[in-house]
Amino acid sequence: MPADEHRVVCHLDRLLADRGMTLVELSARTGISPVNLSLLKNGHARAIRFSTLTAVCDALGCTPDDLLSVAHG
Amino acid sequence: MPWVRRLSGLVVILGLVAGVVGVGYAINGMTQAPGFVKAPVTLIDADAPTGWADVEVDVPGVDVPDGWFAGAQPPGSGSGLVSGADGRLTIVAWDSTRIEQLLSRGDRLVGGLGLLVGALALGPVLGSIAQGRPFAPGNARRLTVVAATVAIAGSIAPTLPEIAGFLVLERTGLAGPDFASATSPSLQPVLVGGVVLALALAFRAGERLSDDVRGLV
Repeated sequence: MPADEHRVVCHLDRLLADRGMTLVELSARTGISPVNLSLLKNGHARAIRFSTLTAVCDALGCTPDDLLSVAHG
Repeated sequence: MPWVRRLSGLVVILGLVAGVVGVGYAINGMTQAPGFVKAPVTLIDADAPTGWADVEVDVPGVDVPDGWFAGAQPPGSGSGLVSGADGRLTIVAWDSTRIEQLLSRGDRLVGGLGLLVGALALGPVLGSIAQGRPFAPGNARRLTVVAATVAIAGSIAPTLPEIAGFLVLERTGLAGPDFASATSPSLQPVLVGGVVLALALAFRAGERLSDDVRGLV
């Protein structure tokens, strides 16, 4: 598998919908730019900082396990 | 950085001008055959080959009190590369050949072409730096081209007129114990090329780092 390919799936869109929150609101709560959150939401991110993960989980009241999963190959 | 963008354009324009002028100057020289050709030669004191400035150069009508004229210091003599050479003169001879004319201006030709290649490689690097993307893909390769160009063109260019001098001395029958055409290899272009190559390697590492953080949120 090439280094830039992965099977990690981000469930940010579902978590936002469950909480009735928009990307802009999440950006305001976390201090993370909407551009980066959009990359994460649309599955275009290739890596995530622990600080980003912590801020998103704090803002959404979830765990990394809720936010990310690995799709079956 | 607008000034870097302007510098990028200026570098490319200067490279193009240098390339055109260098080629034009060399071609113009070839059209001068069989007119006179000027080429550097090295004067050697066969009797006392102790070093630069031992030989007196006679300038008609000019007398130096308690001294004399010597040829210019031969290139490389400071590092002992041209042992026993006493001075560098320019020989001017008629009935030149096209190859003599071309080689006598070969430093401008190779220098101009080197500047052209270097500028065309450096321009996009400066352009991407102006856009805030110094480690854009391809910049390391372009800087490697610049390094190779500096080392190769800088080493070859000065030797071509000296080869022309050798050809002129052979043709005129002056080659012998008094005159020689000594090539004077210089380490400076190689060292400068090495510095640019080190920069290229640093940019290559930067490209890898930049690729690693692409998509990082």
